Amino acid sequence: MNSNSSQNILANLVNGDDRTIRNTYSSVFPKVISFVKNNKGSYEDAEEIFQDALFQVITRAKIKGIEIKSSFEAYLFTVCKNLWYKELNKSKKEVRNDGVFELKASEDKTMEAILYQDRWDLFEEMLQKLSGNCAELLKDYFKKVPYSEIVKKFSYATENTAFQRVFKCKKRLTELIKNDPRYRDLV
Amino acid sequence: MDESRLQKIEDYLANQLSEEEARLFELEIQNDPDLAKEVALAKQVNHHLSDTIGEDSVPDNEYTEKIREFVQSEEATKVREAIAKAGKEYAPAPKKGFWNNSLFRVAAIAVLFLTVAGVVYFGNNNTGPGLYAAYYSEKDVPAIIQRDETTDALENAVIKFQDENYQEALQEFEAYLSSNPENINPNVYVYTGLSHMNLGHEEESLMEFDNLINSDALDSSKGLWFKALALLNFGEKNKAKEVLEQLVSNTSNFNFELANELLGEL
Repeated sequence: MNSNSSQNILANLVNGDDRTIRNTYSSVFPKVISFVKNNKGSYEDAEEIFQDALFQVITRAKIKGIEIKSSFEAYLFTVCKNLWYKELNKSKKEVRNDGVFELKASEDKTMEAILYQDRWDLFEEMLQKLSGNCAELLKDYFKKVPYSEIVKKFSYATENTAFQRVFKCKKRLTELIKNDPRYRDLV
Repeated sequence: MDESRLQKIEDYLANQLSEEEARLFELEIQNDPDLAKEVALAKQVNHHLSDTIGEDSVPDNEYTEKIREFVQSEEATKVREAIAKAGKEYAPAPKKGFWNNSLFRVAAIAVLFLTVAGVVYFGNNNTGPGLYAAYYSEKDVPAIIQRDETTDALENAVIKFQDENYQEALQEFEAYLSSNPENINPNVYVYTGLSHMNLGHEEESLMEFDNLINSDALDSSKGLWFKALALLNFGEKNKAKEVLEQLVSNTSNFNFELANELLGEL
């Protein structure tokens, strides 16, 4: 599936095409069930995550359009994974009040999830634009790979050289993000 | 923003400023909206790079206003309804806690009994694979992926397993096992054992379950359960019986009650 067909699927979803929604269910939902069940969740959790993710993607596409560079299936699966990670991470302290409060909470959750995915897409795309081994270096550094290993892996002379390189790569990444027009929507 | 300023943000986020320096920097952040944005962005980037989730904030701007309007609209309700409708048309969901519900459990056992009785009556065998199919439950397959670990390879392997692509799943599981010999999650052997079983590799499948049985995992008795099921699937009813007898020798073993039932069937 190429990016053109991804955009076609997205356009059909935005137009409310029932068949495309059903096809999306069949092609992506089984993977989401596997993923959620293997990460401490249930079938019902998977269903909620899948439906929220699909709603989120349609909403973002309707409001400002989104460009999907991978297959639509892979993209929606990534959105589902991010939503589930957020869900696993969220505080156990859930406030349950009257219906109005819950409705508001649900809207806030949708808003947060949309902003989170927008940021994720932008950051990931800008990471790919970094030159050389910057993206790999940054991920290793922030995943706390020891300096000694980073020095060896990237053939730096000293740990200080590695540190300087991390700083410059992150600075470049931040500049790329801020220079992208989508950043304005996120602040 | 100059480099020394950026360095200070990094030091602040990495908790490398003294208490006093941090306090003064936080005052600056409060009074300088541009600095606050820089710090927020640096923090979000750090979370992204470390694959962790930070606190969420929703800014007030034109974009978020549009999202809010849409989310509250009738159109959004219709979108949600269309998605929910497709969900209902999708294959029926397995019910939560199926085996824990005594009514379903009695019904399922009754169906199993009638099926077995019917098979015997009509001159067929109460086959091992038939019993395997009746007693195998996806719910018994342990979850092996945890957040905050380097589990990408494992995650791919599990997805391939769930997609019934056992050959590729095995390759990935084996790569995981050989790259982490010191720190193996013994539950992986359930997946490798089942993958071999589904590929018809009897000897290899049983060896994988033995690895779990002989491990020091708390639920190593899961290995006995799956080994018995695999033997049934291979038509080795007598050997399956021996393994089940081993399982029911200890009431705290995995699926003790079901194993007793299954022994009854045999």
